[in-house]
Amino acid sequence: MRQLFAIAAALFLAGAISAHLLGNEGVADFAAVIAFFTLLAACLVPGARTLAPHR
Amino acid sequence: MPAQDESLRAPESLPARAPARGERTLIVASLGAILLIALAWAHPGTIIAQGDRSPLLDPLNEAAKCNTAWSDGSAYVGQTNACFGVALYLLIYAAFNAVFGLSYGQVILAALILGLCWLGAFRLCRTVGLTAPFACIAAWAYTLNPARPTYLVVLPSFDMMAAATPWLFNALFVAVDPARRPRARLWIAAIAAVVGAQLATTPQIILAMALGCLAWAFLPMRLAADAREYALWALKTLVIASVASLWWALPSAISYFSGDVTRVTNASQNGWIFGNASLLNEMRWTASWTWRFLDYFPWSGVSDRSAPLYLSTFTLIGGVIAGLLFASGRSLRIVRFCGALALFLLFLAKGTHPPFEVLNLWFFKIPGMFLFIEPAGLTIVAALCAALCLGIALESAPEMFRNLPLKRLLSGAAIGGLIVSNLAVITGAVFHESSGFEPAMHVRVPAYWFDIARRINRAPPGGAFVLPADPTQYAEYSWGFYGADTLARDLLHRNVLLPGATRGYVLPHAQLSIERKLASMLDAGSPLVAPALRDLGIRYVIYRNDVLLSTGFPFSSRQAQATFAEYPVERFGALDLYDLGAPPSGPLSTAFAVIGEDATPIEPGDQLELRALAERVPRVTPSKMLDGAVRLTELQAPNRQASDRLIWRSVLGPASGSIVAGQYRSQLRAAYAVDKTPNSTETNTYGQLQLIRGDDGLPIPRLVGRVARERGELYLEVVVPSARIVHCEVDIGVRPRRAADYTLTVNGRDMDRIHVVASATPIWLRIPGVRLLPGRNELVASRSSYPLASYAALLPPRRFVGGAFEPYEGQLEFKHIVAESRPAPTSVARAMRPLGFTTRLQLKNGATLLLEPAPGEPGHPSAWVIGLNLRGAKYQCAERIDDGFPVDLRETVRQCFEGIGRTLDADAVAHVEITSLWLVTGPGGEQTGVAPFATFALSSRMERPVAVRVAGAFGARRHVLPASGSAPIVIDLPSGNAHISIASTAADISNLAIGAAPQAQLDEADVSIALQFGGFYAARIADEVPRLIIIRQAYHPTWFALMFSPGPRVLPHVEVDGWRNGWYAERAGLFVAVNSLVIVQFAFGVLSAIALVWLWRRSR
Repeated sequence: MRQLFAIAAALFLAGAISAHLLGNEGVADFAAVIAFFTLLAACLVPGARTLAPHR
Repeated sequence: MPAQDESLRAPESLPARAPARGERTLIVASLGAILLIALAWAHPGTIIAQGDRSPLLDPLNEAAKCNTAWSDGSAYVGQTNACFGVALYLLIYAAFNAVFGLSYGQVILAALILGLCWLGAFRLCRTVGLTAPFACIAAWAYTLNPARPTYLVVLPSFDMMAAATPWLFNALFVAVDPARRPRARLWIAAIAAVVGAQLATTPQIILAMALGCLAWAFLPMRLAADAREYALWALKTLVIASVASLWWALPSAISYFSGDVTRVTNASQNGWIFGNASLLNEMRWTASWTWRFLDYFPWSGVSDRSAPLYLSTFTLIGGVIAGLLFASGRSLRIVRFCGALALFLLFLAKGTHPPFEVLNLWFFKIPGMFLFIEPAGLTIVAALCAALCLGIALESAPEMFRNLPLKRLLSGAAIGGLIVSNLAVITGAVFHESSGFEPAMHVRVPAYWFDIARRINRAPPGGAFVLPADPTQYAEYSWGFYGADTLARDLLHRNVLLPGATRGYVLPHAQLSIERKLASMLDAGSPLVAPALRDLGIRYVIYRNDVLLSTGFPFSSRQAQATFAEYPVERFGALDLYDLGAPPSGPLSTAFAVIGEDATPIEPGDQLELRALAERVPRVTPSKMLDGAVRLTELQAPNRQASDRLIWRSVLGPASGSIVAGQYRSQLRAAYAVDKTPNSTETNTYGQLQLIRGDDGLPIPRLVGRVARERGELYLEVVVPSARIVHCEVDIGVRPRRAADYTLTVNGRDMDRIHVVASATPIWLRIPGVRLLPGRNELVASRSSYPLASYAALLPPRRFVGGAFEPYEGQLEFKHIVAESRPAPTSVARAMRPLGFTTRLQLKNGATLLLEPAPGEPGHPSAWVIGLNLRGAKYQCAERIDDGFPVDLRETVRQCFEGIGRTLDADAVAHVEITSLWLVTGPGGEQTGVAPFATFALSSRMERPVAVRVAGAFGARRHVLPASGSAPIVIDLPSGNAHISIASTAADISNLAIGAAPQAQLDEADVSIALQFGGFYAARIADEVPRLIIIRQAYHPTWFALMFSPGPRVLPHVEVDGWRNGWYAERAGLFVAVNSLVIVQFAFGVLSAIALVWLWRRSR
């Protein structure tokens, strides 16, 4: 779940950045708000899985 | 916990000292790089200054002026002040200046602070368990986070906070190991006691740092094997650190409750601070309001539009995301904690910016939290947390992903992102040259400033009064500095009174009252200015002809010459120095003082003016007497005629009094200052504004936005505040380094194509017949190279544009504005309708405008059209006004005229009359729904003559005294009783009395001071007569005095003149006056030192 949220946050953030660079600030701000809270959720939800191999 | 989850080593397994050779190399290389970067910032012979950082040329003088908890470093009349805490920084600064010179001393000290910042972050990362290379990257990511340029060097307290925070976090984290707790406690207490003091003048960052540390402490507590013991240790450490900080924290805390708050502290009225704080910008650490202004950051527009530059600013938040993906076990717990803490702090830092601003407004209501209307401290802590996540993410990333070396790629991307996002810092462009609006940040102070400082510093005693003043804390100098107006305070080894230039968040009421009074006296050309200044102990008046008169205090050089004409003047470059002669008394004096018969409080400024009228005025009111044992009659000076009697004094309002005039000299003295009756209009709702039609003149289009894009494209946003389409000539300043063709596009239509030859300096591009629509218009001037190379510039292009050039690049002017006969198309969204009200205001005595925003709608800019009448000619111009900012209408008007190429001097301003103010609605036509502001207040001042009626057995007589006059006026009174009444408001301050003018200041006798240091005075009083002993420092209950004659006796403390400290003494002896906060400062300083030594011994 955490990774899902983190990936979603990354995607929304990428969307916000793209929208900003394309000049659509409204969409950029909206996507950034979703990215922000998705990322916060990723920090708060439990879960220990990782994409990196265990060492 | 499974072994494989231990992706990071526990702190106890780390070597506390002696880093490995590779690690040492990284440290030395990084610190060396910081030094090299900083050295490139210096331009020999200049000093970096802008905004709150004025050129700091004499740090030792500044340190001396802030020597104790009571000082006159920021207020002429003295105040309890936290600036003494900065003394250590100032002394180190002075030492660096002495060794490396002015330019390099400044940047090397900055490099030292940056180095400590990097080292602290590196140490923290190593303690958390990162290996040296990734700790190095994380430390760089924190040290040069994108928010750094907003405070680098120019706000040293923020730099120091950024340096101290990782060391505090590190100390809290190493304490996970019980064996290292004593040493960690010593570090925390030492940082609180020493570094905390340097930050005392900016309480918001102390609060941010303290709250950040409290929140951070939960992480090591969760990781510690003995969480309960750790919590107890942290609690005890907090108490000990607080005790160690008492020496600066207690006087500082009291200082914030000891005067008038000079800043707006309401969150909803500080919405402009959060204007750029969208969550998107928060996540790239560029949420500062200054980022939007190309004047401060000329490269920010490019940075926001160029994909690589823009992307690079997301390195930190990318680290949080990557950390959540790659970290595991203990490192994941750290990433989750740090990521959540960083995001939480960023949310707080966004303030009243949407979304969910209601939550932030609620947060601001918690006691003390209003301080976070200045949110930079929060973003610093957030950057540290995010940098830690970045380091962990890179450390935890898999080596390979399929065939890609993922870890190396990510590390390379992070390093690349850090470098790209910090190009301005690395290249030194962060300290920009003239941007056309802002002068260069490398400031060269003219030699004449040093000459006048040397002249005054060697001259006989006396304070300095500096003109012209600025209603804000900033001044603009013609030689290239715009920022905090503290140059005179810095260079002159004298107490300096600079009206208007508030420094700090709180000022004594007396200082503000006196400043206001002096401002109005100067504005009115009162002859009482000089005696009032001398009464304040001021001997020297400096008029700065190099300050641009751009303020609500247009006191011109000519006016200064008229006011101080009778005093000798010297010229130092652009500075005039007037010598008013020795003040009547020094800082310590004795006086026989009249005690008022009523308890009417009097404003310190009014009292100052009354005394300057040479009138005998009450200096002490019974309500201010602390000790009833004071015998009032004994304070009457000997040989005083009983007939000298004050019958009336007033600050506004009608008044009357009865006198018995027959048996004495029958003369009535009426002494009063200029009439300054305030007149204000307040409109509470938008609907109350009247819809009106404007005058015949056409509004001038106004430039509201300007961005220089790549490939020579200049984007301009222009508002036409007219209801009709206009045609005009548009002149644009461009700088074609090569021969070029310029095309102007207006609202998507090509208007004209102009060929220009190469020019090293900007030139005008003149495009006639441009058609502009009502409302917003987009103008794009795009450049294309001309194919013939022979037109290329022969001279190298000038390095910097703007400032000295005419025009400067991007300057825009409109000429020959003609309205189109057809009305504006109402179907387009661009249509705007002028709404508003008509008023008629003489700007002679100043006028201000304040739009208070509705809660939750802060920072809403409103466009206004201002109709003006200057010497019979009508003008109109548009101005954008931000809610919550009191706008000085004179300044606004000055800008309006500047926009059409006219310069208004003080005399011209006096002839300006505002005939109409229109509110222009936003796109979409008529305003509907919510008003853009809650309150509209307009204030002005007007003058009236003084009407006096004298009635008695002889009948009644009326006298009309002229409105403007400050010399005493004498009216012969018939014998017998008389009743005198003032029919209407006479003046800000008036005084009616009978008898001869008693020469009040002759009552005072100077006392030579045996010893004086900050808030400590000692002197020997010789005369055995009852009198007041007065110190020219603002009255504060923390002062007390003893008289040793020979045994000590506590003297009754009274407030003299509404602001001075006075003590009633009956005997001769040794007089000692001390501010108790100075004792607190030294006593707790000793206690702090003892506590640190004790902690050090325990930690060994």
